[in-house]
Amino acid sequence: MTDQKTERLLNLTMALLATSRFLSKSEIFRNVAGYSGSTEAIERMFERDKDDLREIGLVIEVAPFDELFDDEVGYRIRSESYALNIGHLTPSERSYASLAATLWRNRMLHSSGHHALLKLSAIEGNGFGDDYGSGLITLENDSPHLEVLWSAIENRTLVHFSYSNPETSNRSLAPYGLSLWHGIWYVVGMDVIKNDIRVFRLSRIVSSIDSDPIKGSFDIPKDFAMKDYLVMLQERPPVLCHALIRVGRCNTLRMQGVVESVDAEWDRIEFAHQEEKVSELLWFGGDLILQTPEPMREALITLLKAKLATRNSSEIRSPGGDHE
Amino acid sequence: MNDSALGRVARALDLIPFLTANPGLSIVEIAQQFDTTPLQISRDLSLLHMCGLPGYSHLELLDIDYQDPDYVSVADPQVLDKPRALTYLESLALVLGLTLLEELTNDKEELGKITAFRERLSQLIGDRRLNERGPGFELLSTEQAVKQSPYALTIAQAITRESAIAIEYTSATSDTHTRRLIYPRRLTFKDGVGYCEALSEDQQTYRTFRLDRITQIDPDESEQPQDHQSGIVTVTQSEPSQPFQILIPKEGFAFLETHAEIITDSQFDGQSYRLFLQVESGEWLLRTLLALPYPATVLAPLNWAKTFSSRLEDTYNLYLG
Repeated sequence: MTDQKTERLLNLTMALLATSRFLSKSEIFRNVAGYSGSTEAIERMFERDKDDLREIGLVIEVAPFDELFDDEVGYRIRSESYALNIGHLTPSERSYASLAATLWRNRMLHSSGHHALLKLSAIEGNGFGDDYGSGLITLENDSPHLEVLWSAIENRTLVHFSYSNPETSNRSLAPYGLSLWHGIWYVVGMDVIKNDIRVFRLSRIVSSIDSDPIKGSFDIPKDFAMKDYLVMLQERPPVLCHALIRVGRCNTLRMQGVVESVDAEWDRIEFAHQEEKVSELLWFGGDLILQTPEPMREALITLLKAKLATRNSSEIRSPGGDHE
Repeated sequence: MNDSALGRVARALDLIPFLTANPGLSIVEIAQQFDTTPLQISRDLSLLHMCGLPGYSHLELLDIDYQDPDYVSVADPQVLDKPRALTYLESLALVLGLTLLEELTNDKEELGKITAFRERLSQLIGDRRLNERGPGFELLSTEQAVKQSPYALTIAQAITRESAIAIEYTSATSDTHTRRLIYPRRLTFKDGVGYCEALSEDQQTYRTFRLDRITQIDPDESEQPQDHQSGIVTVTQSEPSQPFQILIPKEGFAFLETHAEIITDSQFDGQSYRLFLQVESGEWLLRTLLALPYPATVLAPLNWAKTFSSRLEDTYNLYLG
């Protein structure tokens, strides 16, 4: 049964592609192998076949078969809408396509990228990866939720999931868009319970995502722009800092700042750093003393005191739980 | 791949133009390209052999030669000679991938080429979506997904050519600056940060290098090590991992998220997490805990707990002095 249907669909596609004029139903049923049975059965078969071909992206044009008798319609697939119309690819473009298509780890995008590459290689033949091969660069940020969210966005279906931030709560969302923003996957949409547009980090969805079966249950507002909501996640600009750093140490920080010598033991560095990330400077331990800005220095001292207090109040155990 | 009737139709419509442009592939190779089995490809070819334009005789069907399974060709693809247009998602996967490549490179000429290509592909999406929404609408986007690295594409070229590169590298953990020869195998990006997985000539082990810590890069003509296996990436540990116990407050739940791969167990008492870790570098763990914006401490092993404690105290004393 599958073979018959496959053959019929392929023959129908070829017939609709090959024609320069619209084909009537009767012409199709007469000339395309596979349409047999009662008139009603053939009609139903044809309607399903058109839906199937449209599902895989083919654009079947429908127009009055005859200008004078517009009650009968004809069908065709235009070559311009069917074929990949990208023109010639340069060797560099082939390389970039090869890299770009294969960097996704996520199954949905990986599969789509791979298919895209197959189609492109049907224009140019083999020879992809003259400068760059495929699969050399991969984006490890994957999420098991991308595919179901993408499907929900395309079909406009509501989704339901548990979200941890850090307390866990149940959420219902009309998803409007997905974004890989500064290396992290987010979904943006209307939180149905809170009646407000919210941004959700995919890695904090701690359950499987349930999609409602009803398609088309919401519209995306015409003035919605994902970026307007994602920019709220943007970090504040860095501020100018000064610190003493030990000679020969803090090498990664030296890459980012301007350094001058102070004495045999210390250099002074001027660099930019985000205020809310001041704790990161403790990575360098006693090899760095933040001098300015004063509020950041005070914040660092307060944090050090808190860390010492926690250390003092913790038990010290060896592995296996034995007390020293 | 989808083996329903529709799935087979989609595959067949892509198979004919692909074979037309790439004659001489074997059925096994074709199956690999189309992510299916050689048996399925054989069945597809056999089915396609029976298809053709209406009104043609049985001699004028799609002319596919697949009698020799090691050499498949299409003599007459009829109207299926051109590949199908990219689907929206296929175009997006390419466009988003190119956007990431743009973010990686700071070579103006290369950036110009990638941008021009991306814009050309974006037109394919834009044209189809315009009748739904205005231009600029995005269902799926990316921005600053990866930190710019002046060396990423140079390293990618070295991987393609299977050549070595000499890098100057600043290690944040050991706080040292070294020059070393490496044989890059793969570039990965996670949470925006780029890493190069490479065979280190010095250690004869696989190491991972952060791209933003590479300060200089020079191509090298050194031959590959004898045990090199092209295309296989195996990252082996350079140091044996050891168990640690740490304590972090409940506001540190993001630590569990970020470092899930090293956490073997966790206990939460309502106020703090006691985490059990397997870590290769104790020095890395100490520095990471020191740099957290909340109090965290090392509980075990004892030597590292004492080192952490004294480093904390020494740092604090510097601010008092």
